[in-house]
Amino acid sequence: MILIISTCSQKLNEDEFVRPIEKLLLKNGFDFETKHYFKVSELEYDKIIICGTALKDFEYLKDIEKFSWIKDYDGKILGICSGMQIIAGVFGMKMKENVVIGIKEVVAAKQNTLINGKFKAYFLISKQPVLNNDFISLTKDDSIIKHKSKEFYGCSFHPEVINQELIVNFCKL
Amino acid sequence: MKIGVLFSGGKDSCLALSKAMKEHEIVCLISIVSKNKESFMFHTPNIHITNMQAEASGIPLVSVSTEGKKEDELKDLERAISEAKDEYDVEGIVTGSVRSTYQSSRIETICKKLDLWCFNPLWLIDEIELLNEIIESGIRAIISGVFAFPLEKEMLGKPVDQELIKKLTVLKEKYSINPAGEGGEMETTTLDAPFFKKKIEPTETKTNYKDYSGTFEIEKARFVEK
Repeated sequence: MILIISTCSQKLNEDEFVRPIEKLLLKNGFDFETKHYFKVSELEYDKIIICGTALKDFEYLKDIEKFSWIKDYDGKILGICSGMQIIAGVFGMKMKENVVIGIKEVVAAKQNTLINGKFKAYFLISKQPVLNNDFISLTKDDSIIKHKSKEFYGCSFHPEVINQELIVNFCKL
Repeated sequence: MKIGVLFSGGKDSCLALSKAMKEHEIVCLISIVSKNKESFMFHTPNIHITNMQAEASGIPLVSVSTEGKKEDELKDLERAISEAKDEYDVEGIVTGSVRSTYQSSRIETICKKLDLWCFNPLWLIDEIELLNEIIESGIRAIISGVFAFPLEKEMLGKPVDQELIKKLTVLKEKYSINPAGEGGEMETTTLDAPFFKKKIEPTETKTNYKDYSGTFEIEKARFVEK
C-alpha cells in the first residue's frame, strides 16, 4: 500500500498537485490512500509519495516537525517539489532561492532506478535544498536527490506533468 | 481568499470558476480580448460574450484588449491581473488550464511576480472526464470554433453533450484529436451555468467555415429567464 501525502494548505490546489498522482497510481494498478500531512500518524505503508503544492504555499515549512517521523521510517519515500523540501528540512538541509518555472532540460548524472538519460521536465519551484552529507544528487542540477543509505528520493520538478514513468518506477521499487 | 478567475467564456474557464466558487470568494472575472485570431494564449471566438456571462453571474469583469503579438500578450495579461489586484484586492488567480505547460508556466510567472496564488483546478484532468464533468455540473456550452481536420462545419453551434463526447471519442482514436480542444482544435462558448442568474440566447449568429477551420460567431444575444 502506498500513502500519498498532500502538502497543500488550500484544498483547491489538491486538484492540481494530488489528484493527478492519484489518477496515475489508479491507472497503473497501485493501491493507495491519500491523507493530508496533518492527519498522518500510522505509517503502515511500503511507500510514501509527498506531493507538491502551489508556488506561494509555504505552510508545510512551518510544520516541518510534523514530518519528524521520516527519519525513523523504514519504507521508501518520493518527495515532489515541496515534498523534496520537507525531506531536506527533516535532514537539516538549508534552502536557497532558485525560481524555476516551466520546462527545463535535466541530465541524469548517475544510473538509477527512477529515470535516466537526458530529458525535459516541468518545474514550479522557488526554493531548492543545498545538499548535505546525508544525500547525493542523481542529476547534474540536483533536481533529483537520494539519501545515501535509505530509499528516500526528492525531486524538484513535477514528474506527474511530464515524466510520469518516474513515479511509476518509484511505485515499482 | 479573494479570487480573480481568468475567464474566456468557454467551458473550461466556467468549470474552473464553478470549482473555485466552492472554496473561495470570487471577486472578479478577467478577460483578455485578443485581436489575433491565432493567439497562443487566449481564446478568441465570442470573447465579447464574457460581458453578458459576467452580468449573468453577478461578478464584475476586468477586460483588457491585446494586439495578440506573442510576448506582448503576456504584458497585457500581467496588466489585466495587476488591475484586478489593485481594483478588487485579488489574492489569487484561477485558470482553466488543462495541459498546456506553455500557458500555465507563463501565468505562474506573472502570479509569482505579482505575489499572487495560482490555482489550476482542471490541471491534467482526462479530457473525456473533463467533458463529462462539464455536462454533469450543469454548464451548457456550444462549439464556437473548429480548427482542425476532420472537424466539420456541422459541429459549429452544437452543444457540448453526450452525443458530442461520443463523436470526439471516435475522432480521438482515429485522428488524435484532443477531445477537450486542448491542442487548439476547437473552442466553446458557455450560454448557461448553475451560477448564471439568466441564460444567454443567441439571436443573431454568423458561421464562417473553410478547410476544416471555422467559427460560430454570436453577433447578438439576449438574456432569457431560467
